Amino acid sequence: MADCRKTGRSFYLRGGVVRVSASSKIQRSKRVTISSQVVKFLVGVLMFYACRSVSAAQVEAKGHDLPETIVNQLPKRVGVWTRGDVPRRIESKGIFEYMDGAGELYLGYRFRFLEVHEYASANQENILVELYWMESADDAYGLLSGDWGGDAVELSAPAAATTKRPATGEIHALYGAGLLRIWSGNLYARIMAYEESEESKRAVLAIGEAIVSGRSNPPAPSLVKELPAEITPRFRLQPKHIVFLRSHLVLNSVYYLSSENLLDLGLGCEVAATSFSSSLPEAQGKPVQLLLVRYPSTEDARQALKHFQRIYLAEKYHGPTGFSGDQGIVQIEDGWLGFARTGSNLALVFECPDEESAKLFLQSAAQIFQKIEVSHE
Amino acid sequence: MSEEKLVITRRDFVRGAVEVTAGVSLLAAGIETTKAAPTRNSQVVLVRHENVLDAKHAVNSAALLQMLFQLLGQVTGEPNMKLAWRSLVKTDDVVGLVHTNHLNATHKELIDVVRTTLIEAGLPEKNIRMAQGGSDKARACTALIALPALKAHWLTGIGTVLKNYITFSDSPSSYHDEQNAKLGEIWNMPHVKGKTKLVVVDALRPLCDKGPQADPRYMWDYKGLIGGTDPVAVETICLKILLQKRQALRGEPWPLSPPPLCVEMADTRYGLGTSRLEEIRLERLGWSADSLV
Repeated sequence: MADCRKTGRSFYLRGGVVRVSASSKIQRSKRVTISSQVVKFLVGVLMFYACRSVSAAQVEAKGHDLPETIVNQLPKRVGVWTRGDVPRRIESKGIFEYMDGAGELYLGYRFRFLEVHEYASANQENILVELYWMESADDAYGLLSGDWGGDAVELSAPAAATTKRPATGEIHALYGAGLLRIWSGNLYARIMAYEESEESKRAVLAIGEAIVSGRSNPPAPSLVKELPAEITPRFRLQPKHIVFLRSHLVLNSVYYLSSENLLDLGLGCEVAATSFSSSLPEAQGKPVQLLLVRYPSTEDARQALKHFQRIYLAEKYHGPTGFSGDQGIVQIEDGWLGFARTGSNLALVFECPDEESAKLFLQSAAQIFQKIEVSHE
Repeated sequence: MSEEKLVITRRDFVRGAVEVTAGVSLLAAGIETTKAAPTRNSQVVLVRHENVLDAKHAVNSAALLQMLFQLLGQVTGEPNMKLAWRSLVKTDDVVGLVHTNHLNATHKELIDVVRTTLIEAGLPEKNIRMAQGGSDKARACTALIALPALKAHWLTGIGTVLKNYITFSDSPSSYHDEQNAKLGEIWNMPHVKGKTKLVVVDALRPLCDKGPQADPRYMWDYKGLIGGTDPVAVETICLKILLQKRQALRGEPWPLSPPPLCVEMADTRYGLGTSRLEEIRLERLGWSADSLV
């Protein structure tokens, strides 16, 4: 038992018992022999937590009709690999221990917990399966959107009915060099063969198929869905640069703005960051960066814009003209910058070649926000 | 950790003089820095061996030993490994080997060959310790050998030499995010300052994108060791290699984001060495294909 307490196994059991269906699946899948004392202890712990957490489980069930573990969907054997019986479960508090100081990415989205499975083989390197359970499909999409590189893979889950295709098409899975990344509802999955081979690739894809089996694919975040393919034929959307995010750390890894969280981003925010290629001649032809932010409230958006103006446009904010309105276009070192706040929505456009194009981008952003408001998303 | 908070914006970079490696100068950002000495000359040694990794990336320890021998010889000017180590550390030193243990970890074979050759040079085995960890680990050592692995990092741009000592601060999270520019501060803490005798970067199979988990698409067999006694100069060469690899992958400049603020700051603010390519003398030994620098 002492060993159990120190390992991820115990962590999983203690965390997992809150969710009755999940823990019962674990019990069914266990094949290891354990002593009767251990069984008694675990049953006691299960009963204690089950009684204590009924209301919590009920609340969660309302918000998440998907199972919180898909361990039974995962094949026990795939090719020459065999899955271990008990996954590790990592909560927010433990993610830094698991990733040794690099969990900020996942905590930058609304992270619930991580489930880790390992497939072992006698003569091949292992295959690691990480299942990141997020609060919403938007959060899981955001994690995939951090890198659209790799080969798009068609796994078998049906696409949700949607009237508008997201700008990134219908990409839900990407494979490259042994790593398969999947966005499936509120689940983001990484399946990685430590050593890629044809055999390991087949196994990785088979595991991916099993993970998405029976799960529906909700549409991309509304801010992403509404991005136009172009802002006049001069500026075309770069789909591989679309990122959905909530955290300024993630923003900085995409488009570095400041060492400080100038836009007061946080888990309550929805942000689409992307760029548009320009057909203008070389000197003016660099991509234009567009940032669309939905804040929890109008006041949040107002304060964030002030914060941004105070630091990023300091000389204008503190200058004699008192540049601090809700809309503006200004020329700075790397081009024209535009901003526009309406209610709880804020649009920012960077590196425009001229004032007119900044206006066009802000107009387009206003239309996007309006469509979302009208659709009540 | 000092209380002063740095606020750096994109505009600060655009205003500044563009440097080749770090991407931008911080001097124009209004940040108080120490004036760099005008004529520094730091040596960085790059050793590569075509057969140090096999097709499955397994390490050939004999080739690695040969690479370490070449590196030490070039850094110290000594004719053999024993004299080379003895010129860097004393036999009564307590030597801490500071490896990287996550996200593209230092190869165990490199740690082993460093340890073995130190013992052969006359250091008692009990005086050679694995020193990655809290400040107590650094405090217990009289000499440190930094053994980081070459990699980008999603919070600090680069996560190789300077970041390798982050746990010596006892407060790693204080140096993440917007405070990563201050990583050099750790190297000047009393229990760390002056103890680093050599930096040997494991560039056998680097990672050129940021993580937080290793993505095999961004790892490649570079088959190199990069070493020197100036940690900032070594980091600057590492940065150059990462940026060149990224550009080669994308076919266009692919800057690190966030920018690796810590490198130039380690030079201009903390005085740990030079981040200016014109002050770095790069010695290349061994295999030269696709060296990127």
